[in-house]
Amino acid sequence: MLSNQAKIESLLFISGNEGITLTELSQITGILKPALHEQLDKLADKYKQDRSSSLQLIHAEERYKLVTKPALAELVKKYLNSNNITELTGAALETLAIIAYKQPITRIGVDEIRGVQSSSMIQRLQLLELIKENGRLDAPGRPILYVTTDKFLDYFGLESLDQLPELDEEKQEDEEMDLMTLFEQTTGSTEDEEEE
Amino acid sequence: MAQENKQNSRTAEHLTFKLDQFEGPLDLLLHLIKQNEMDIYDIQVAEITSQYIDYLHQMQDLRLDIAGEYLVIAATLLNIKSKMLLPVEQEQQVEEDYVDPREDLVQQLVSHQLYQEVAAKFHVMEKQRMELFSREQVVNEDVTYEVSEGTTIDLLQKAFAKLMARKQVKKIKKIKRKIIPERYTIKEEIENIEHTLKMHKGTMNFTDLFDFDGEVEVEKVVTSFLALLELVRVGRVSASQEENNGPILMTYEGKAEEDAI
Repeated sequence: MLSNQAKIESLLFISGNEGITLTELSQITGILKPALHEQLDKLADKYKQDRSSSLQLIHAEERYKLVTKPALAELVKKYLNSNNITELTGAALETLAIIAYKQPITRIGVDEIRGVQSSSMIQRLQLLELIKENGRLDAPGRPILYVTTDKFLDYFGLESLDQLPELDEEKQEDEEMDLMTLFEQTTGSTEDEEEE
Repeated sequence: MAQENKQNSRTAEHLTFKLDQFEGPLDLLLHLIKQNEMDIYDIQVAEITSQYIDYLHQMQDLRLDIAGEYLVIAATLLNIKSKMLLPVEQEQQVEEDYVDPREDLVQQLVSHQLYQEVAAKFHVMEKQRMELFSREQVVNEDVTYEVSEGTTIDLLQKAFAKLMARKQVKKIKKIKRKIIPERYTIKEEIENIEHTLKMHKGTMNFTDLFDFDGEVEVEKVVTSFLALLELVRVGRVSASQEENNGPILMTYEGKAEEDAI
């Protein structure tokens, strides 16, 4: 009789780049989720410890995937012989970042921060399945709200939204305080300009 | 003049190089602030405004379409500049609810900058994730074919032969095509109609005219009808009806000047 770990590993192997969710694993193997978690952790650890293993277990939320270790990237690329890896543009990354931190957010909300129209960019990100619609804002026009997807997490190698890099808002708040003192100095700066 | 042109083209080059870097007006504004080494919270509005508008003019010289968003920010800058030039009344200065006219724009710039910085981090994360490779999912065929027990090569061969035979039959069927020559002509039918009308003293009921003896082919009826229409067209036969849905009488009018086909 094969171990539960072997069962889980086989399904991970077969599911490939699609990955497999905890629910699917549980339904197919009959193993309950807490036990699955334990086995998955063990498996991830096993790959990590074993220097002769090329694999690594990653997950975005509840979707698990087998991938090669990053140290092997050069080797794999040499085999694939492909240099045409397409990355997201700066504008796309910025739009995604805004949606990631401010979700759920409307298109107008994104526009305001970026200072440019974002409708086509949002459409593109939706096609890439990095964001999705999630209800509507209870405001005039009932604008669509956007949130990031699990595919977004996977694309950036995040396990959950908690792992998003910290947004330096504290710094921003401090600076807002500075602004208050700046307000008082405004008269000074106006005089300067008058001199010009 | 020549020197001036030279200078212009140099700034133009400088611009084309720079332009694709700007994601929008806020980006351009941030770039100008950094270039001037200004504090984002203490923008020298007059200076930045003139530089910003210079940029827009240069974009125009390059015949680039300036997006509306750029103009909105230009208007905002001019608005702030004019507000800041107005003397602030003493009372207002003391009041706590005095608002720096730059505040909204600064807030917009700060949050824009914030997301720009984090977008750079996203880019690093993206690159790192791209170093990990996975295989395509094993394709799961919905239907699986199983060969039942006792199947021999002979059976498969026979099945294959049958299949080929059926294909052969289909092919032959396809090749067979009938070519039927025209058996009735309008010219003949015209003669027939004229003859029949003359036999009935020049006038006949429409339906009687098509009351052919025995089995009649569709082709004959259609050709005959076309012939009748032709006769009516040239005026050799006239049609009349005394009441709605009543019988149509066809009358032979004799030879008209125009010949029927």
